[in-house]
Amino acid sequence: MTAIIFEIYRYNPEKDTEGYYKKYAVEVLTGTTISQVLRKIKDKADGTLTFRQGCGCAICGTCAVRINGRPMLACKTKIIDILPDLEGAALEREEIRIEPLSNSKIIKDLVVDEKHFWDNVKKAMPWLIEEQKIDMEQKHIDDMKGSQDCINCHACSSACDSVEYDDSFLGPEAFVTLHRFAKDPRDGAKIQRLMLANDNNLWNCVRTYTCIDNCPKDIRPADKITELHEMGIDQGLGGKPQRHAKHFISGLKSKGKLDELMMPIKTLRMEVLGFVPDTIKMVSKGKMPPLFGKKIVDHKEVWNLIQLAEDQKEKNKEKTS
Amino acid sequence: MKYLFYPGCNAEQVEKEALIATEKVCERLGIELEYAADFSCCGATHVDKVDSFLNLLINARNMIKAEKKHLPIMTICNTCYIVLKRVQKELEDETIRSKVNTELSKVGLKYYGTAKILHFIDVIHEYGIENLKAEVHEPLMQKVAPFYGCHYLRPEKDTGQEELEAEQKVDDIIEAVGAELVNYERESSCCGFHVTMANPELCAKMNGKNLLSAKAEEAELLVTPCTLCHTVMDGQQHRAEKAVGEKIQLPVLHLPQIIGLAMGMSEKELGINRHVVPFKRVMSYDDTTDHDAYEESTAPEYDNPEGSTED
Repeated sequence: MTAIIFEIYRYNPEKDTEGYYKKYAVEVLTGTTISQVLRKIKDKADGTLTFRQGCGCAICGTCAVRINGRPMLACKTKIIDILPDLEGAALEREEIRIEPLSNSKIIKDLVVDEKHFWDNVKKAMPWLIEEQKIDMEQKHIDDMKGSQDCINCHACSSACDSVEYDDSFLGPEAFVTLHRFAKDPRDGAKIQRLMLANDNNLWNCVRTYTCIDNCPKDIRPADKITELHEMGIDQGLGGKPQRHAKHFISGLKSKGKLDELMMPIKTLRMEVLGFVPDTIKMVSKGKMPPLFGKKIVDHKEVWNLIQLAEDQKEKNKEKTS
Repeated sequence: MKYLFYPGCNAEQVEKEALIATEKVCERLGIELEYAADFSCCGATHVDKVDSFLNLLINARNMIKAEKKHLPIMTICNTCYIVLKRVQKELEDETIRSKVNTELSKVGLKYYGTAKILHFIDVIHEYGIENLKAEVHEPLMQKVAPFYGCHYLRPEKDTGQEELEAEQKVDDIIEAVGAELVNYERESSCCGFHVTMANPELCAKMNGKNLLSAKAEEAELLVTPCTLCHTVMDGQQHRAEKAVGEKIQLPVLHLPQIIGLAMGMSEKELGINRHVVPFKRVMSYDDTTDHDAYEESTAPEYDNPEGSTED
């Protein structure tokens, strides 16, 4: 057993005006989990320490906390995951910081109010609508693979920059739920779900990829969000962000490069007028994209690849229908 | 040392000073660059939203060009870097690679997966931090805050390096040029670039909070290894100011520019005059600042552990 220091976030709304960190020395082995550490502190040092615990085997998604700044399941995370060199000499100086999840109101110590996360999952309608009776095949299961493994631990949404800034953004967790049902061949409300995703700011995902690195089930939520983008476009959903994304393909088709000059006009249309002051500032500093950009060398190859990808898409559509 | 230089659409058309500074710094360090004239746009995490298969095809093609030349790719745009890295990772799957190669064969191409994808940061580390220090003739004696940019850091599963390790590589360069490194809360956050057209308000809010966070730690300038972060943080700083209701005026430099300055190149040579927020070089630390007192006041407090448990 080796004693290491745990710095735990403490906050009791009944007596504290703000949160603070308290240090506890706990004896651990390499395989001791963070849940076990919290239990030890509660049992032997401070019975008022409040945290969530559930199944203890990474299935219920209850115990997510921030460990050294990153959301993780306390029951799944062992000391060796945080300190690979537990027997190392520098260990006396090592500290592990445990805090509640971000992007949420703290109720007490490590317990946060999860209501908004669950409200968003409910908005994603996690049930089959107008269910069609079909024989499920392995390829159908593969399509939903990943998103149906979500345990709603909120780790992804708690680490998401878009969630932090934008209350109307459903969040990676809820979009993963939405993806699971939009991909289910028995569901009869695919378009309705994709429109719902659009209305709940699917396109405000800023691609920080924190959700990919922090998912304890390796679901890669940002990739599920990308699939929803593509499914929506395939269904003919359009708007400013869709025009923006499509403009990249126009550039590839014509020159092989993004046409920076036309991008604001093609994306924003009349709203581009709001960007006139920005443009003047940039142009005054010489930051004017070229009027007539050159084609890349071997551009024909790119043009052909676009045609081939379009053919593939058509074939896939025919197969699905 | 020779690399295939893939600056990305933004550096070729808007942030040209980043391209110029990179070329000048590399030339001075003896790092040979060959311009990747046949590379297409990487799709910048937008093409896959429209057609994920096309995203694989065009980036496989880009990597094939490097494979044929037996040269590692060097980018100065974090998004170009991560898009290539992610496609390379995806094409490790035999089934996907075979599907991609079937289409590529129709235009006479074949993807092997041998391309090495590097960022300018990695290239400087290959050159060697100690070797770089030896080239520093005019140390940048200013408080410099890094803004790493998401796509050099994440997903770790695709970059193949831990986020902290990637951040440290940028910090090492900042310190190597003689600057005082300023770390701050939002240094690894998102700049908002990828929603700057679709949702400029969201982008401005993010940008404002990041810049204020660096300013709160008394940063004199911010440096980023990503041309896209620079577009937002410098070019749209006035929008950020409006969003947070505060004047910020924090100069933002490209990473190669601070290396160039430390090697004795002029601001004009490095295209710093093209920035929207003006940068003023300080040639020595302000002697009126009591640095010892500053360090003392910010030293973390360490109490003896409480509530020790025994088993």
